[in-house]
Amino acid sequence: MFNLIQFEIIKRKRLFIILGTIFLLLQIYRIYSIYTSNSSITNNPFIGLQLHFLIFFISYIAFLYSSISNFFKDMNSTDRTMVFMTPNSGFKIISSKFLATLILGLCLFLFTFLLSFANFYYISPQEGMKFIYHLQNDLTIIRRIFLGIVTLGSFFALVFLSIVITKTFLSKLKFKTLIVIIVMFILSKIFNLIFWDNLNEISSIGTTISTISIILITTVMLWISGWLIDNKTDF
Amino acid sequence: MKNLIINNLTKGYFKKKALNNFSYSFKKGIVYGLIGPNGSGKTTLMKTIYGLVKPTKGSLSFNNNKISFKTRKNIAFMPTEDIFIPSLTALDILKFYNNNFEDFSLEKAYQILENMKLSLDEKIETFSTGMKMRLKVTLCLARNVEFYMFDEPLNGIDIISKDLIKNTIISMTTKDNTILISSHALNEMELILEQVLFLNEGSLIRDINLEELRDTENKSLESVYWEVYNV
Repeated sequence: MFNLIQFEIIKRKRLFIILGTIFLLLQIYRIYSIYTSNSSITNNPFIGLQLHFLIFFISYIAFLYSSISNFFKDMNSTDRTMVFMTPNSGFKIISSKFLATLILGLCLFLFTFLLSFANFYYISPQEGMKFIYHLQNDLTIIRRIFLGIVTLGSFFALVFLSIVITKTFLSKLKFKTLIVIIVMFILSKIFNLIFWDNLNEISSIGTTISTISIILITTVMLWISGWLIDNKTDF
Repeated sequence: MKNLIINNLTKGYFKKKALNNFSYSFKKGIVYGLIGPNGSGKTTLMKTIYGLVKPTKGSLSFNNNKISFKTRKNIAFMPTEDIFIPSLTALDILKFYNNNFEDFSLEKAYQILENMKLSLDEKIETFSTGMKMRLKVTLCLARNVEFYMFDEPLNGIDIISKDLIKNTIISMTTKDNTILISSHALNEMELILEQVLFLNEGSLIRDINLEELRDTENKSLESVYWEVYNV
């Protein structure tokens, strides 16, 4: 499994090299702006930060798009079938792609978060310390972040399953992207019908239980995708 | 001794049948040839044996195990299409194979690649068709399995590489290995093959032993091809 995850990460290194370079250049530009502009940092402490946040937001969108299109290409292009030719089960392959996506997403989030925090701390150390104090003493923030990651994971699992279903049963049809969206819409309706009421009940009990429930649903979606790859999908 | 048994294999794509009631038992120690015009079902048959294409009807078993992703541990397959991600280097691909196939020998792969004059650090996107083909053949040959399949291994390859591939395949032939090769290069493959299966519209229409053919009828494979397909 580790080998497959590593391979998936290597495959996507180009996007992260580009993003890393942009972030680095932005930071250099920010430091340069602070020390060369006539308005000192005390007059305009948030100089360049708006641009930072905009670029971070764009990088999240780029990551989402690249993750989905990467999986779509993996399933539909012949020059991507190498992974599906290994003696690994469909579930293992899908899970490795899924985990690689989550790891990369988490790295991107942590990197942008730390960079933002460092800039913020530079402007206002007191507020920065307050934030660290909150993080240390209020575990609900960390729990909510984790729930957010898990929810994003379930979204990726749903998209992956929709792409696998399209490849398995509807591969001869045109407008594949549109079909994937329709399949995704139908699947989310089905999952909502089965799980949503229970989830609403569960989430009122606590974040931990709703997190576990979403993880279970995600695993079910990945398992169905894996089973389809092993038994129904042609490459 | 039989290792791969196929019974009434049918693969349909809507109304079209890529394979139609194909039945055959492959034995150990024999080099098989899969011959037929384009669209006769050669590639579909190989992909079904490897578990990449799922049958509509019929059964396939390898050493009494139903064909699945698990049987890929004992079968090596060289597809005719490009299967490599263009942004990776040849070395990335070798490492991937080494990590995912227990029987893959990195040393053997380096040795074959050196003979084939392929650079490890070059990206696949810079490779020519012949170079990609040589890499695919290497990946297949560097595995140590019971059943090897090559789909059009001599396509787009220069004469020196062709000879190298042919000689390597011959050197691999043991009484424990089965080799299945599909090819249009009949004259070049004739010396390697022992048993030839002729396919047409997904069905097996003739199965001949080349040695018997040479002894009894003194015919070349190409002349039999002309006869079989009535052209």
